[in-house]
Amino acid sequence: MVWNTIVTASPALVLATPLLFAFLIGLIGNFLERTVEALFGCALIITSFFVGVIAFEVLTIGSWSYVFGAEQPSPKTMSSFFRVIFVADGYSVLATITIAIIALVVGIYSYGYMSEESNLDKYYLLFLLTWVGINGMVLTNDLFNLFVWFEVTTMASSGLVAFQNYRAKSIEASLKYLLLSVLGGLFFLFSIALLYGQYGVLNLQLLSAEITGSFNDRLAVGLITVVFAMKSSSVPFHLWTPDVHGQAPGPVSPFVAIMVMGYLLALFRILISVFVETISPFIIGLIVMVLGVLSMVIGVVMAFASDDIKLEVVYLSISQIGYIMLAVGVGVTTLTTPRYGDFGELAFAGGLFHIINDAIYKTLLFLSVITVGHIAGTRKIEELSGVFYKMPYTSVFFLIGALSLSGFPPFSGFYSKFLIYRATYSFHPILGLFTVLMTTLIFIVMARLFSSVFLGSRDESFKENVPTTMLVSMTILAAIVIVFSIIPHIVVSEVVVPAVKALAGVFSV
Amino acid sequence: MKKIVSLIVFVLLLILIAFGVLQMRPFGEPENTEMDEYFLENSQEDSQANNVVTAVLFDYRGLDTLGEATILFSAVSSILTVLRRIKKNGEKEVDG
Repeated sequence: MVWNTIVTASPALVLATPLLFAFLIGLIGNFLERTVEALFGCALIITSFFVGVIAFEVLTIGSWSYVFGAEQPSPKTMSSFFRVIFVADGYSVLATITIAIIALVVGIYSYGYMSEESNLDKYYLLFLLTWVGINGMVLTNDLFNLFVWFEVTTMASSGLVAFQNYRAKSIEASLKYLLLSVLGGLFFLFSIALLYGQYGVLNLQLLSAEITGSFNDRLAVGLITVVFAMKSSSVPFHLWTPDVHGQAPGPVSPFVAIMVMGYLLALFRILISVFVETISPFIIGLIVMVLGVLSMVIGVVMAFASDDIKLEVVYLSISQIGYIMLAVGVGVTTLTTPRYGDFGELAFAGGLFHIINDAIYKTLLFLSVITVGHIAGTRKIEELSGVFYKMPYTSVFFLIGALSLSGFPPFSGFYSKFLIYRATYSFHPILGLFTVLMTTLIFIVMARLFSSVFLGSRDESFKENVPTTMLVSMTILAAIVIVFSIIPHIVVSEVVVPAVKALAGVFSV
Repeated sequence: MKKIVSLIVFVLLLILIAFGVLQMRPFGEPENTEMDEYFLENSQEDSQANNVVTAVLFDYRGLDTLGEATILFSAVSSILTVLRRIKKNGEKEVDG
């Protein structure tokens, strides 16, 4: 009985647990530093446990909704949809699992990396609040509620970026990011006002039934796409990304990267469940595809030009966002046509599988590169060489991440990219060839980086002393990459396909 | 050049949004009034509150209110983080 209540309420508990611990840390953080670390660990473990509960229930039994504040948590009548609803379906499982894995690993990594900083209670507090925001964004089924979690994520993460406040540049980067985000948030609020003023509902399902495709709906979908593309560092709006990643304290970078993923997932949910049916799927899909192609090209080109190991990974992560947007865009163009069955489902599967894969190997790359920068004291490519002799474990982790990111056959990145090649090739052969070309260029960037930084002459200028927590977190990620490389078909059939069904299944012809 | 481009984009966006605002329905009269009517009729019974605004703010949209409070909490925590004084190991306090 109690267990059933916990299971039904788990979408709310995923949000409530980190929120409770964040308030607790804020309350006692000033007095008890060791307790704060323990509390942070508890929050990581308990929240991940509830994510696991959602995942297990959805994947074995089926999806359900949780209505906040109602007498019965499952929606019975029309009036339930006037309250805030969280949905636990395949799509939110994919999202929350990805986010929880990264949050857990980055949290463990932070223990070692951040140990020299002061006032760590603030760091842990903002970390948990950011996690609350991202989980809320991917779970909610209500437009205004989405805006609330959007703002929580923005506020908390800009504090994280400026955590090392003795460096003026990190404050500048954070301020830039905060201004852009708040402006974006206002545009998002404006488009919600356009929709709510016209239709008087906020729930995504009700809105999708009401929407007529008027000028204001088109304006709203345009503004929402631009705002979320900006937050997910897609190319014409990516200018905050290098600053923020370059100046943020080490473990914050991969966490910002997973936050970007959260915005992307929320964008796909809004576009597909609200707008696609009334406003032409082809046009919406095409816009998402164009953003994706731009991100791929510019990301790879900038990675060639960069001289900083961390920024190189940042630019490649922009190009990976491009792959995801391209694949999902191809999927969206096929909705409501028979082509969905031909390759649309494949495109969605490729895009969503790439979200999990990319989150994991990208975090592995980020962490290994940050470790190198932390230990060696520099991130400049020309100042580093022969890191392999000093830090063999970190180098092996970097190699695993790099091969996976460049889509090298036995590694997990290859499988999701292969699905994307097939889907884009079916959409148009030139597009398929273009994605393969981009992957080749990424491989060249990675090979250059590995040979000049990790191989080469032995450098005697720094000592190897990597804290255990940092090695442990990288080992976990490398293990997940290897498991995904061995059993990609099981991941696709058990996690990705339910997510595709939850996202776009209603359109299958 | 950069200024001219941003000016043009700004004016275009302004025209687009102004046009959108002109197209909006009269304030408080959405096409679908089901949700408003439901709140007016049932809020007292549902939430035991005599004030409809209270019922909406703390019952129907209670999670949003909690979220708004969390936004304030995150903003304050971020400001405290940026403005804190740094105590490095073994060194005396430096002004952040």
